[in-house]
Amino acid sequence: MRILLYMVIILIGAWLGAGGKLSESFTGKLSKLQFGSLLLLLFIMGVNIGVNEDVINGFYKLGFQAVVLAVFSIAFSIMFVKLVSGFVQRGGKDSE
Amino acid sequence: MNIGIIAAVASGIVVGLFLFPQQFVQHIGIIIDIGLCALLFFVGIDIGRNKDIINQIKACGFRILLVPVMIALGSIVGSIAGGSVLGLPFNESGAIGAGFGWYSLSAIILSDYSAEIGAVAFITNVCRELFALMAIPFIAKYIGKLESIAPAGATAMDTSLPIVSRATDSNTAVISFITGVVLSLLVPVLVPLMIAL
Repeated sequence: MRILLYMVIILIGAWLGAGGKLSESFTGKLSKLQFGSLLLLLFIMGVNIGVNEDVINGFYKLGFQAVVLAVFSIAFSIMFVKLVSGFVQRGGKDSE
Repeated sequence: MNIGIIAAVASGIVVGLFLFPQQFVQHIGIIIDIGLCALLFFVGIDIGRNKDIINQIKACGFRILLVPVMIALGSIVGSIAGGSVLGLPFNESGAIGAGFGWYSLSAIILSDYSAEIGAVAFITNVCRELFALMAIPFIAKYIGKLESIAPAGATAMDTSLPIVSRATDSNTAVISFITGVVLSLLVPVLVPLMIAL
């Protein structure tokens, strides 16, 4: 249900953005609005972390887990792209 | 990476530790939901205003969409593999991997489920972006140009794009941009989907 809500909100935004129905003054402020709401959300997320003693006490453990997860996801994504890179690049040459 | 982003999270942690009234803790989830909807709306407008994407995909051929698809699969499978080494449940590690380096959005979505998963998602995806910025030139040189887009994930359309462009060529830079757009669209879908498994 939540996924559907997120998709609908993005699609409404994309539809409004593509249609050019938004005023210049609003679209001019878009990146500032986006960054402002992002900073507010990150602040709230920080509060959510700060009020949780388990997270604060286990911060080093969480950091180690994060490095392992990041390295594995990078390594596997490179391997998976390697599987199709020949096929994709051949397509690019065909269309030239 | 923007200093403001780190400062916002750090100041939030300090406020949460010392100043935040306990009676408001139960309302944090609602505030995150409202803010997240506003952020996704702005992201949608941004994507809608970029009318060149469809034309670029047509020009390059639809098989280039395999690149973001394989990066998505590799990231999720890789983080599940890493999570199994650490003894983490597969849905948690898979959801963190589905952040594809977009640390702000993935961490915010997951902090609604648990502060601990939100924190791991944030640090994991910050690490992914940092590692990507360092590794892209080496991967482009020793493994392949398309493969160099993989570590960037969703950041392939913005922060990592100049590095990819510099380390490869203009064709790969276009594919990098499209990959970033597709992965950014997948983050708000796949992160909640994975955590719900």
